[in-house]
Amino acid sequence: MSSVSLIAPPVRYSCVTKGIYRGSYPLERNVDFLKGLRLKTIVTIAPDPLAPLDGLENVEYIHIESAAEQSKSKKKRGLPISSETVKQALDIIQDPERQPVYVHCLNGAQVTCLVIGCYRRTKCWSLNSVLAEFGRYTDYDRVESQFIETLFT
Amino acid sequence: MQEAEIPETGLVNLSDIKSHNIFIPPLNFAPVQRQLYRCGEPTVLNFEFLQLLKIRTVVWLAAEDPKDAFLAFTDNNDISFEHLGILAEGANPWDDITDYTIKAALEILLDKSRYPVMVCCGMGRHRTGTVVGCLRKLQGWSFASLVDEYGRFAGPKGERVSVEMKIEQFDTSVVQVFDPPEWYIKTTS
Repeated sequence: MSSVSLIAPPVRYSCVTKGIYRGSYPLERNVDFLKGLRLKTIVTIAPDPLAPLDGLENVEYIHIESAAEQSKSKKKRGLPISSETVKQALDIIQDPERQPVYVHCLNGAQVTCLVIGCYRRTKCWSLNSVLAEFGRYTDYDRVESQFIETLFT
Repeated sequence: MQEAEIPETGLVNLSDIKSHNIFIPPLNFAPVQRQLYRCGEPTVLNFEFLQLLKIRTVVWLAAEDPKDAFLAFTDNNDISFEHLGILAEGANPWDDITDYTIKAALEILLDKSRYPVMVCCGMGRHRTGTVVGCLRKLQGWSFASLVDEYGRFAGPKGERVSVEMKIEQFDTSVVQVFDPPEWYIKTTS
């Protein structure tokens, strides 16, 4: 092995657009990578707040409470967040003063996908394209697609 | 760094959206880094969206030629089109891309003067995934992380072990970097 340490982004990490990044719950081993993003804000959408990470002391941590994510194996999984929660999250991540911002839920899948899906809708992406992006991270069904489609109506 | 500029429409409410054209990004479209995008072959439906990205270089990795409409689009918008997918004699379109193609593609991706850049192949899965995977390797990403990213675009159960092996085997030291974009300097120093 080389002596250079490898970089590990959080699971399901991705760049959303300039200044907005998404992914799963950040762990200690992701800190080096996250430092490179020069984050100003970390938005945690989860039942409990994220404890500030060593090495990322100058970041503002914002907690938005959500219900626990439900198992994919359930025939009908509910939505752990409300449209109010999404609007609150969108206001924060689109605030230029708070960017670069990292938004995450527990596993970077359902909840983050719903938020980013709604974000794409506000940017006039076709619903189909929004769902194609959603589907790269986790399965979705009608409940989620309806949520995204009707959020702003 | 680590950012991409996707056009901001400035619209916030769906009532605005209703009176606005809907943008359709190409298949498997995603930002990779600032002003570096990946996707499958764009069609006429995607041109309006693409125009907003102000792309200057397209790195084409498919063995097949692109559709005439896409070539015309690049011509009309002063985009330089780099066809790197041309097959060596005796090769098949489903073979992995060659080390030479990966090296040539990465040298464009790491040349600031070519930006904004879009890298694409037919579906934006395997060939694009190989090049982006090798870029991540150059950036020092762990193999598990870059395979995770590749798998997201390859689709569930769609990953090809041969692509993952190609990325693992590719010798990143052959890539010559002269004037890379800022995000690259920050991630590798």
